Amino acid sequence: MNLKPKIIVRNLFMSFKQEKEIKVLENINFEISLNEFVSIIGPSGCGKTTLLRIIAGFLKPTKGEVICDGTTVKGPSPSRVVVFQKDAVFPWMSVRQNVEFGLLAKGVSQEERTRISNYFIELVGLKGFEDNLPKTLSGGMRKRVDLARAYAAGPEILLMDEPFGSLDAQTKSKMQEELLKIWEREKRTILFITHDISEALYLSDRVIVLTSRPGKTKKIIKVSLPRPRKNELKFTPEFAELEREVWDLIQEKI
Amino acid sequence: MKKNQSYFAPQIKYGMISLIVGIGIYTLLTNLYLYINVKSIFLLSIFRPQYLPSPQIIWHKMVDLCVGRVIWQNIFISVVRVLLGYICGVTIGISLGLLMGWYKKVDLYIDPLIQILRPIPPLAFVTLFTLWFGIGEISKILIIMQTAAVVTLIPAYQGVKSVASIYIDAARCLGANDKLIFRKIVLPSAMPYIIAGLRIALGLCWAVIVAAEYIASTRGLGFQIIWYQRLMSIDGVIVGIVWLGIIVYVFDTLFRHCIFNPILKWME
Ligand SMILES: Nc1ncnc2c1ncn2[C@@H]1O[C@H](COP(=O)(O)OP(=O)(O)O)[C@@H](O)[C@H]1O
Ligand SMILES: [Mg+2]
Repeated sequence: MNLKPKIIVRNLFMSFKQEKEIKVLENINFEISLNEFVSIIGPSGCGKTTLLRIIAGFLKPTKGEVICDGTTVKGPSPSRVVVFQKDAVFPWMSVRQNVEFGLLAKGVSQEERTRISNYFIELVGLKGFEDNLPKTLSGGMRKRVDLARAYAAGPEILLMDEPFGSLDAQTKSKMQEELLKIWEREKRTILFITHDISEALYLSDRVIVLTSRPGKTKKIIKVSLPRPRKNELKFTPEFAELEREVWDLIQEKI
Repeated sequence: MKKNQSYFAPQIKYGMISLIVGIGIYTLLTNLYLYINVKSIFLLSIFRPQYLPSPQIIWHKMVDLCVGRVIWQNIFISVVRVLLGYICGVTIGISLGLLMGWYKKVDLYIDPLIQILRPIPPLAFVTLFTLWFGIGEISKILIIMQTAAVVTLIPAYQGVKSVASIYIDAARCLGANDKLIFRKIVLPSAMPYIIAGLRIALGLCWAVIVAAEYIASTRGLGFQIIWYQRLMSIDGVIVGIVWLGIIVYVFDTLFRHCIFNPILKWME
């Protein structure tokens, strides 16, 4: 793609000042193109969440910058919606109210809100649960609400921080497949954070491997497995080989 | 709901048993005194009608009073005092608590005042308010207002402070401004705290109004009880207390089922 990149992360440094200065991110550089699916993988505590929060605009980097669509990120914006690691579905709102929240914030009319929320609720497979409260839904279903809510706000970029980290293995692989299906139909630029190698490879066009803290970009791996991808892909030799490669990379220096 | 029922069923059963046995023994003892000449037995002498009237006597008094107008007037007056004071008080308390939780500036200015006011028992102000506003309605409603405001303010404040930051972050990146975040995120998230405060305040307001009516009043259920005390009418006092129990119970149940529970139905 010779288009201008959607996200540019340039010379990014981040450290937290407590009694001692903790360096969390060191000289992070990468670019993500329009509608690309990119994963960031790295050991726990290496600064993945911090990096995502900087790109989302919740945190200011110590040095360097994040550029989205040619402008430097200054704060959160509905053009970059985050799907958090923890359950962030508003428990006091029904599924529909959750999904419509971003539209409500934009001042979209009730009619239009209903139309758009219907579309995304159906897309994530929650038709019939519109009026349910989150407490009546399973963990996987809540993640679907979260996804629909993120999509409905109309972002160009989706930032996902280990969204399936808390799900059981079976629900997790189901959700991965669903996410790809949704993304094939509604292409967005997705930055997906995980510490699960197979998840990263299965979903992404490219995988950015970070070192342990302070996180540095160790390698960027292109995943040229054909799309659309089915779950069975994970059991092919090509996939296993890629998995092995990333595994070795992460093991190299701890 | 169904699960709760089966869970509470044994409690209700045992509760009923001990209630019936208790009332039975009490009835027996008080009637023993009435119908059998056991004045010589010292222990039984406390079951004299002047001290502990039998259930029949209390029931009679209850029916007697229900026929008349006075008890209803006094109940009405107390209910109006509590309701008016409560509604005004919690409105002030909750609004202030929310404002203090949401705006740092407001917190800094108002918190010292609250800290001074908080440890003073509300009843301490009865005398002051009576001197300022007389023995009538204003002083009663003010004392209830003050009670309700102080009791609801702190939970509302804490409710705002304890909103999980993930919800605020989520709302913010979905494009919500401060006003929408306050209305749709902070307020509902603080509701469990606010409602806990509202419930405590309701019970306390009844406690305070009765005491205030004991101390300085010419009307109200509390006044009627103190009036019977002056007349040495023990059955009148007991009937007054029974009425209080009924009213507070009804209030608590109504508020819980009609207001509190529907608001909190989203909770686990
Ligand atoms: N607000 C903060 N203040 C101080 N240290 C922080 C803060 N946020 C994160 N850290 C530290 O930064 C490091 C990276 O955290 P995080 O980005 O959450 O890692 P990951 O998501 O990769 O597990 C951790 O060691 C954590 O202790
Ligand atoms: Mg993390």
